[in-house]
Amino acid sequence: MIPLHRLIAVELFKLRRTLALFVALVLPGVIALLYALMLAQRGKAFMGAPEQAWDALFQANLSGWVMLGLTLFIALEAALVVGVEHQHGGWKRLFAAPIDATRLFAAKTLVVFGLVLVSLASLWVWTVVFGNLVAWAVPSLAMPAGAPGPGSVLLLGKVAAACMLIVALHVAIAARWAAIAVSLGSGIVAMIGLVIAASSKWMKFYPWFFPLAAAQSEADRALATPVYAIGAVLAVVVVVAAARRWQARDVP
Amino acid sequence: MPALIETQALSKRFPSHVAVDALDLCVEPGAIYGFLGPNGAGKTTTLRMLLGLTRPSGGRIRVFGEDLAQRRESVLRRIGSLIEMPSLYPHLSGHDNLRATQILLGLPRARIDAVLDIVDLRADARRPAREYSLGMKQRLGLAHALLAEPELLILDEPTNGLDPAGIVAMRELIRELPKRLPLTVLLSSHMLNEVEQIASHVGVIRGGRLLFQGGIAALHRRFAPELRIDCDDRERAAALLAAMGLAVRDGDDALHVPLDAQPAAAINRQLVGAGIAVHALHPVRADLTRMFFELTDAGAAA
Repeated sequence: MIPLHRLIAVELFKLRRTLALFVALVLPGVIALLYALMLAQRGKAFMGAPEQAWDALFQANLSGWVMLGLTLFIALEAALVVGVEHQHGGWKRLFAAPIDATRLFAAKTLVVFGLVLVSLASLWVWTVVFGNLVAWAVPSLAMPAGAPGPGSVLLLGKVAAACMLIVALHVAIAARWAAIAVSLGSGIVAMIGLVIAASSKWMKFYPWFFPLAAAQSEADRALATPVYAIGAVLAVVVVVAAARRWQARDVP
Repeated sequence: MPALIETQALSKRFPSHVAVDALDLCVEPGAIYGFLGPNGAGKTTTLRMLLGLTRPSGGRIRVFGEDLAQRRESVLRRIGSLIEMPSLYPHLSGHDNLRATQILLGLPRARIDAVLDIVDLRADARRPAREYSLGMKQRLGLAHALLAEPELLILDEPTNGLDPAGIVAMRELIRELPKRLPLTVLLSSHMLNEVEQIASHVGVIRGGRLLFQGGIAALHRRFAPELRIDCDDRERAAALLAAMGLAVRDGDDALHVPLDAQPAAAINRQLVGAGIAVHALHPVRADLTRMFFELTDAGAAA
């Protein structure tokens, strides 16, 4: 049986010359740029005391990315990573090889999850780049040169952990429906759901809310770690269910 | 010697039709097995079932003596395949398409250049696959099938869509493969002359049912040789031959009668005596095209 690490290596290899990595590196930068411009314009009203500026900027960037970009980003990346098999007989090529479907879907899910990690790391780097640019360009802010504190990395880890279930769901959707419109449509619907139901008391059970809860530390305390653990378990269930579905039907 | 591929009552039923009906396929080791049938006969469905891509509705498949349903992964490890159109990642180069499979299967990297040499694609290996002609894509698909040094090669219509030069090149490549590599080849096609030139065994399928299976020689034995008569007035000649008690077949711009029914000289004398100019008179073996149509027409009538 082909081991998981080789399947992951092939999935990463196939991303060459695709937009997947480019999007993960650049898109968070757009959010970071927007908030840097707001910081430059609104000054202390945005960042509070100068010593809190980095944390305030990072928190704004992270919340903005999770609220505005992350859901669609995951839907897009899932469509790119899985969609390559829908075109030109990719599934046929894969399943004519001695591949286990569960491992294949696990590999694809982990690669999309890896791209989420890249996007979050990219967001941190862009925060540092644009934050220092603002500190240099607007001396009246008295914002020190530097970077967000070590707590920011922990927060990124929590957000990433909270993404596991929605990554698995979007990979399963992209595998089930070949049309990229379905993949992206599911992301749009999920995001609208997030906006509409943001104030509902049931929101904490909405998988697309998990990363936002993790990004906003107060809500994170309310949800705490068990939610992520349940999300991770459900992610495994989704991967296995998607693989079972493939095994039960003819390969297109 | 045990069969390399053996199916028992293999069937595939779709809601609207039966694609494969109780198929007992038997492919011997070392054979180039031509799997023949008109479009929609069930060739591709059968090959897909042999690769586990389509789930059979009934029957059993044994490959290398192992049950495919139980030992899918160990069986597939020993098979290379090219089913329908080549499955390529168009954004990757030809080399990188092979590299993806080389990584996946944990093969030595040197295998990539080895198979590129076999299919004569090394010079274009660094170009994106989307820029390849159809013939190059087919050759890359064949290289992909050969990458893991398979013992069994399954090719579905490998010359589909190729121009005449591409067909000849692909046919030569397939014909040479078992000489260069210890391979058994199962090749589906509706190009009869193509199969006749390279296959050692044939199976003929129509409507999902196997009509004939065996060596090319056995197939020829089943179809008696004929005497081909080229003359200037086929209509009158046919009537005269029929009056002599001969079964006459008109085809390929000539008349055909069973070879040993009457001596050729006697037939010639009768025709010339009746004022019919005979241009040529010679024995012919049935070609695969005729055998195929007789088999499939009989299958359709049954």
